[in-house]
Amino acid sequence: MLSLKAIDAGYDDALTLRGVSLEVERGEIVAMIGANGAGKSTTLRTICGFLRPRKGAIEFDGRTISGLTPDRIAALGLVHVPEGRRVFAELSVEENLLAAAYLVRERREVKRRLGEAMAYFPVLERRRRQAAGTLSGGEQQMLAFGRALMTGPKLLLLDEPSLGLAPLMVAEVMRSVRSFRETGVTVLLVEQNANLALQLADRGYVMETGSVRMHGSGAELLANAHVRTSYLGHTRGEGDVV
Amino acid sequence: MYLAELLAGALAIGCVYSLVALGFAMIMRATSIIHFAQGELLMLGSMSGLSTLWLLPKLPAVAVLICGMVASGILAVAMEFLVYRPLRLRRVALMNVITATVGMSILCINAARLLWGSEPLRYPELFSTSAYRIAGVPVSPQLVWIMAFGVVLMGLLQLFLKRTRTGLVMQAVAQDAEVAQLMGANLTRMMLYTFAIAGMMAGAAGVMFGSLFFSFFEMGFLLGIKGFVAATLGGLGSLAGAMLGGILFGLIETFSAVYVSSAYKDAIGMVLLIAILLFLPSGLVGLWKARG
Repeated sequence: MLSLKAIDAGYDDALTLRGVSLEVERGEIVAMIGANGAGKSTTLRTICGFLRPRKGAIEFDGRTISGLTPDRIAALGLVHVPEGRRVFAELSVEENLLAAAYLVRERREVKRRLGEAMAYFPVLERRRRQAAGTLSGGEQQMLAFGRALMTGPKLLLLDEPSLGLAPLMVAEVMRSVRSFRETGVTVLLVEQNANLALQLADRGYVMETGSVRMHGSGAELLANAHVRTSYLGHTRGEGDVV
Repeated sequence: MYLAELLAGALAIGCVYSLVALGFAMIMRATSIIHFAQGELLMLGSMSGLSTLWLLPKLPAVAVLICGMVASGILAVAMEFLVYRPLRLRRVALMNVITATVGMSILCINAARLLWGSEPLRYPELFSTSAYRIAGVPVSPQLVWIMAFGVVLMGLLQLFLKRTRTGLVMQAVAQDAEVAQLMGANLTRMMLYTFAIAGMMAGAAGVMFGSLFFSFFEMGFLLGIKGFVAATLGGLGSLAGAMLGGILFGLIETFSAVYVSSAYKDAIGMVLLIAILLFLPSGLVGLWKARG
């Protein structure tokens, strides 16, 4: 469904990504893990069109999308939920959701999706008229998800959805990610919390210094010695410490 | 009696300032540009309204207002499309884009002098000249209508921003353009809408001011600055603040002219600007938020 073929990309003169290739199949949850600065967010920003790849090609749903502007890519159903939630703080919860359905022409369809998003995240219904900036971090994450659902996505790029949330909210966020898949939405998930991400994901990619270091099924990566020492906080041979 | 007339005058001119300030605030929020050609959009709207009246002397006031709005709206869109947008795409520093808006302003002033000459031009009477009586107090119909236009326009803008999805997306773009883009918003188009609306507000203000006083090729300079003071007074970038700031500035200016000295009328505005920047940099809205 989504495929990156040997992507080079970066800001200004620096090349942050070197030869990144990855595949996401329809209906999968794919996790991308790695340290800070490994290039995970840059990869997502390149996919969604903020950065133009210098080399390589990105295909989505059978067509090349590298070079398109972010709004056109979003219109194709490839929707990026950026790190830090970034809700429209001065708009109400409902207005946030409505603004996200900008591309939907039919009024009835907008209503339907609004109802759906609120059924998905009942907290949004309760906070409907409240300014989004006054929500808690977890509620804002739900709103960011709800906003993404309003666009009618086929594939969601989730950048660090659990960052800075309380453990209970983290569990809630992960439940949402799983249920996205159940409704037919494919997910590419970037997470600092490698343990969580790999448990959730069908497959995973490990990024190091701007390249894909290894990839495999979630279970394979969880068992891998390098992944365990570098990302799961284990020393070799030890049991769970988390 | 005298006080009522004075108050009506202050509110009417306040509406003019509010409309200009709204344009400043909208453009500032969406692009971070201080659009110094806003006053010239007002002037060109005023001139356009007047010119349509010359061609069609029987035109009702509302139609003249709309002509001025359309003319300024188109001009504002042209400025954005032909000048500011190319500059942004080339990643020119913000300061230089703002300097370009000053350039646009000077260009408009000179073009207007060529087209309409350098004499102040009187508007024909747009409204009936016999005074309305409001609660027994006679008030000039002109002032009543101008207030009504101002209030209706600001109300319509609020409705548009709050009740239509395009309006909501424009607000979303102003708050986080990147994320709005991820939701499918076309930034180029949203910027054009922003400039179109800011231009239309200025054009309306131009017709309103012209019908109160006169049209003049240099009228935009001082009115633009006053609109900017009003926007700063309200808290730059806040739409509610801009509306409030304009009305308040109209009141301050009018009453200080009467009770202090009309010779210092324009100077008072500038002193006020400096005072706000020194003591209340986030404006009235900042005051409100600090309390809340």
